[in-house]
Amino acid sequence: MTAECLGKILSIDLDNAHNTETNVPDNYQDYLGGMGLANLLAARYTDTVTDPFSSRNPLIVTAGTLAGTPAPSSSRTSAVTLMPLNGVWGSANAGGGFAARLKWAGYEALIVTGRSPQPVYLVIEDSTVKLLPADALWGKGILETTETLWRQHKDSSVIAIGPAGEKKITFALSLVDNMATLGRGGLGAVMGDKGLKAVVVKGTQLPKIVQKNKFLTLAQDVHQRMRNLSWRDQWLRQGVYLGWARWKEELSTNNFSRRLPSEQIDRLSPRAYEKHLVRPLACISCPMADKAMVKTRGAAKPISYGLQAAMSGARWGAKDISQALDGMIEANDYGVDDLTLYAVVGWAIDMYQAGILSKEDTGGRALAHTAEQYGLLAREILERRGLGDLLAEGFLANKKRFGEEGIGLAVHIRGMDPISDPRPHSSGFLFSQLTNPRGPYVVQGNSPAFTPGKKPASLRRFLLSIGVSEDKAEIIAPDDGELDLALMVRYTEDWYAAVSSLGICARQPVIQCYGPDSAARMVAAVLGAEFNGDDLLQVGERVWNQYRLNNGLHGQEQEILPDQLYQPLTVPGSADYLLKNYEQDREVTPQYVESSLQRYYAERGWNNKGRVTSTNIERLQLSQ
Amino acid sequence: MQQRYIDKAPDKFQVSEHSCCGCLQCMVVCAGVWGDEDSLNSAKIKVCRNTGDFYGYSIYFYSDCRSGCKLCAKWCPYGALQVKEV
Ligand code: SF4
Ligand code: SF4
Ligand code: SF4
Repeated sequence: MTAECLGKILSIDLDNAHNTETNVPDNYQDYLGGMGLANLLAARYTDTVTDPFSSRNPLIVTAGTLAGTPAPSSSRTSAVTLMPLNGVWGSANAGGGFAARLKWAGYEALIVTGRSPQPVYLVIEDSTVKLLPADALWGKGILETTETLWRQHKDSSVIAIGPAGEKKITFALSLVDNMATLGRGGLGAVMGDKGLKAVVVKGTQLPKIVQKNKFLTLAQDVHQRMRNLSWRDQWLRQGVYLGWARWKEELSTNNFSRRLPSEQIDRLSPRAYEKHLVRPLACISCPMADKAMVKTRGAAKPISYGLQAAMSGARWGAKDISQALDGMIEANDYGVDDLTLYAVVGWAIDMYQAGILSKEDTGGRALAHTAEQYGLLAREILERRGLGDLLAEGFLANKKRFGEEGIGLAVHIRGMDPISDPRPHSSGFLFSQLTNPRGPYVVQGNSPAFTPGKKPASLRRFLLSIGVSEDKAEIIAPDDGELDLALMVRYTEDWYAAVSSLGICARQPVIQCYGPDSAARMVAAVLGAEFNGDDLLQVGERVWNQYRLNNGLHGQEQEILPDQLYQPLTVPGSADYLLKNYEQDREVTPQYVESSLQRYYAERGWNNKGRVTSTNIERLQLSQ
Repeated sequence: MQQRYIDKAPDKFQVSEHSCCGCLQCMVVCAGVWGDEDSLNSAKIKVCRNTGDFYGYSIYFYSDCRSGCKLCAKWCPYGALQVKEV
C-alpha cells in the first residue's frame, strides 16, 4: 500500500556510474520519510562503514512524507552520512527546495556511494538520472556553481559544495539552493571525497495524496494559522533574530572566554541587520520566509539567516553586522561552516598563548585574538597551508598531535563546537547538544524555555501541545521546583524527529502551527492509512532511538561539557556569567549534568551508559 | 488538449512579481486541484526563477486558467497575487 503512494529510492554508485531504483522499505510507515527514512537507511551501513572517507560511506538524502505537497513549510531536506569532523552518523537537515523537487522527480531518497575518478555532478530529472562532468565547476564557489547549474537546468534545486568540500576540510558543508546550509560536521567533505560537486534535481510529478480534499483543508488550516501570527511581519524581516534579547547574551568570543562588549553587540543587532535586508526568500511551500537576500557592499547575496552572521562574527571580532555578513557569505560560498572555522581558529590562538604552539608552528607569527589573526589563520585553513592544514582536520583528529593539554583548550562536545554559549541562560540547548549523537545543533532543544523566566504553567502547556502527558509535564515543570531541562529534551527531541520525518521545518512559527494530531491527520490523508497523533509521536521516539543506535558506541562518555563552560564567562563592565540552571538559582556542576543525563537516559529507557537497550530495540522494532 | 498560451496579466489579478518569494504554493495547489494528471505542468500558473537575478521570479498564467477560482491568490502568502477588486 505504502510503496504505491510513494516514490522510489534512487541509489547511485559512483564507482561504476551505476544506478538502481528500489521501493521504500516495508516499514516506511514506522519511520516515515525525512530524518526517519534517512536513519533507517543508514542502519544498513553502520556495521561496515567506519571511515567517513571510505568510498562506501553513503550520502543519504531524503524528502519528508509531506514534501512536495501543499503542507506548509514541508520542504526540509534530511541527510545522513558518517561525518568526518567527529566520526558520527550525523543527521543533518536544511531548507531550500531540494526535498520538494526530489519528490516531484519521483523519489523519496537518494543514496550516493562510491567515488568518481573525475569530478561529476548528478542530474535527476523526472526519473532520468545522469552523471555529468564537473571539471569546469571544480574549484568554484557554491554561489556561482549553483547559479550556473540553475541556468543550465531550469526549475531545479541544487545541493552543491565549494572548495572546502573539495579539499576535504572536515567542517565543510554544502548549500541547498544557495540559501540553506546542509551538513555541519563535514557532509561537504564527504561529497568532495566522492568527487561529487553537486546534485541537481527537478521534476513535475506531484506526490500522490490518497484523500486530496481532506488534505487540502488540513494544509489550508495550518497555512492560515501561520499567516495569522501577530508577529509574522517581524519574522519575515528578522527570522530567528527575533530571539535577540537572549542570543545577544550568548555571543562569546576569544575561544568562549569573554562575552562580546555591549557596544559591539549592538552593532550586530537585528536593527543593524535590517538595514542590509533586501527581501526574504522562502523555502518551497513556506509562508514564513526567513531566508534572505542581503546587500552589504556589492550585489545582493542570499543567506540562510542573519543571526548566524552575528554569531560567527562575534567569534572572529567582526566590527559590525556588515562585516559579519560578508564573512559568513564568503565562508558559505567557500562551503565551510563559519562557526566551526572560527572556533578552531580561536582554539589555535589559545594553544599558542599557552605555549603548546610555537612560532615554528605558526610560520613565525605571534597569534592573538584579533580580527586580523582570525582572518589570516582562517585563510590558511581554507587553503590547507602550514598549521592551517592540520587545523582543517578539526579538534579530535588533532588530539594526539597537541596532547591532552591542547585538546583541553578546545571548546567542543563530541568534537564539535557549541553553537552559542550556554552560560548566560540555560535552555534545552544545554542538554540537547550533549544528547544529540551529532553534537551541538540547536533545534532539538527548542521550547519556550529558550526564553528566560517562563512560568511553569506555560512550559506545561507547551509540553502538552507536543503530546507529553499531564503527569509527566508536572514532573518536568513543577510549580514549586526546578524545570527539568534534561527530561524535557527527551520530548523535544522526539517531536523534532517526528516533524523532521515529515519534512516540516522546526522553526518556531512553523512548528507551533502544527500539532501531533493535525500533522498526523495529514499523514493519514497522504497515505490513505490509519495514523494518529500517538503514532506520530512514536515515530519520533523510534527515529531518535534509531539515530542513537546507529551511533551505538557513542554514549555517555562523549556527553561531557567542555571545562571552559564551567568557568565564569567574563562580561566586560558587568558581573561574570556562571553556568546555572534555568531558574538561575543553582550552579550547574559536572555532577549536576551527570545526574540530569541519568534521568534523561532512564526516561528514554536506555542503560546508565546512555546506550539503547534491547528492550527498546524490540519495543520500537529498531533496525540493526 | 486545448492549446495553452501565456497570459502575463490576467484581468482578475494584480500580479507583483517583486513580492514573490518563490514558495510555489500557487502552482502546487492549482495543479493539485485543477490538474487532470498528477503533474505540476498541469498548473494554470507558472512561477519560474529568473536568469540573471536568480532570486527573483516571473509569474505566468496559462490561457486555460479558470480565473474565477482564485485559489492561487488565496494561497499566496506574500501578496504577489492579489485579487482585483471589481
Ligand atoms: S521558516 Fe525559514 S527555514 Fe523554515 S521552511 Fe520557512 S523559509 Fe525555510
Ligand atoms: S485562478 Fe485558479 S485555475 Fe487559475 S491559476 Fe489560480 S488557482 Fe489556477
Ligand atoms: S504563492 Fe505567491 S509568493 Fe509563492 S510562488 Fe506563488 S506567486 Fe510567488
